[in-house]
Amino acid sequence: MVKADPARDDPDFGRIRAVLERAVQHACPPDLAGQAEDIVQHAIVRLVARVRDADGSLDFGSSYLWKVAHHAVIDELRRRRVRPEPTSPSPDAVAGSDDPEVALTGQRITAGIDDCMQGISPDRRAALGLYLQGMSVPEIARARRWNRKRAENQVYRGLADLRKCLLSKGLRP
Amino acid sequence: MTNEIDSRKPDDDVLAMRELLRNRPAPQGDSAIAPGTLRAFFDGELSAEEAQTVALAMVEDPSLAEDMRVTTALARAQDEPSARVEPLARPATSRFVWTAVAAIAAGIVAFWLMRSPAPTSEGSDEIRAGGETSQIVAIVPEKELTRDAFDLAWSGGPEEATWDVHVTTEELKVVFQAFDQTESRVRVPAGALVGLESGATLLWRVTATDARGGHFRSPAFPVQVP
Repeated sequence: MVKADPARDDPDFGRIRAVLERAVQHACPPDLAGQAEDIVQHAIVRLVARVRDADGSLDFGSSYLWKVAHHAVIDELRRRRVRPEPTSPSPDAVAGSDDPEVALTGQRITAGIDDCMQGISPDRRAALGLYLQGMSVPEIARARRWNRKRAENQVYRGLADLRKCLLSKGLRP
Repeated sequence: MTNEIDSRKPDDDVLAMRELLRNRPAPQGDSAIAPGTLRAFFDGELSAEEAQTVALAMVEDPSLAEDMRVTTALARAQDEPSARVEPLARPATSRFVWTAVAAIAAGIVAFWLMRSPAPTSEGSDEIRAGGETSQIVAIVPEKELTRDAFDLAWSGGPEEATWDVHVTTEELKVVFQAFDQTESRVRVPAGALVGLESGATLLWRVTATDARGGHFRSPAFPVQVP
């Protein structure tokens, strides 16, 4: 059993903060990515409070800290979706809105992807959805407990279906 | 548009679709799936039926997809050896020793950075990094750099990789970031350099994600603002 002293300025929090910020910036749309520092600050405050509340009675090993950090940052993201806070647009968002034609094309393609996905069989749709969210084929295989070949086939066929459907609508990413 | 999928390296239209989906604002509201379940999904710990339900829910719900992207990014970071977090509590003496070691190491790194020649495209002056399995070499001919063509390039690392690029000041303030790059070079927009004095040192590093989801990170390469 390891006793914790949350009042201490422990460098582990710095490492967790850096990773959380990167994850939020990488994974979220520009409006939330622009708030990454703030989101992560709230999550870290909760993490420290959790450690303090435990009064040194828990084993704060690596996996536990990552689990709490993960929960805290997801909760903070969800809180902001329910009660969006005033934001200043990120540079990316400003760049996107500067060109209405580009923005409109993007919206059309996004709507086309949503529409086309509905016509793809469930296994392919699920695999392709994960792939388009940024998961790699090996990660999809692990999550679905498929072998790599099956995951690859589902993604491949789903992507072929999606491309065909988008082209039939005159859309091209 | 190609009819082939390279599962090891997403092609340009897949990257474009990923970017479009990432930039789609999530609607207000709560996702019904607990963070722990998302992580269990990523780790392949759900039953086939549960996993299918979660996967399809992500296609339908942009909020949940956003949560999953964060979960995936954290899981990947957690898998990196450098992400291992030691238990919080350590004896005071141990803490003192580690602080002293860290200070000495920081001094050595700073000394090395000051003495290192600027990265160039000429082999003898290249900065090599990353060990034998992921030797990453910075290729930045500084004489050719301008604020309008601030091009960072590198070679080495795993094949068929995608790259994240981070550029910071010496105080580690983020200047520019790019994610999921398929080419081993990136242009830092001139706007990102506004406010930085000519001659100021920036630090940049790249992180590769290989076909198996493995990550390889270079150390920080110094480069001067033109």
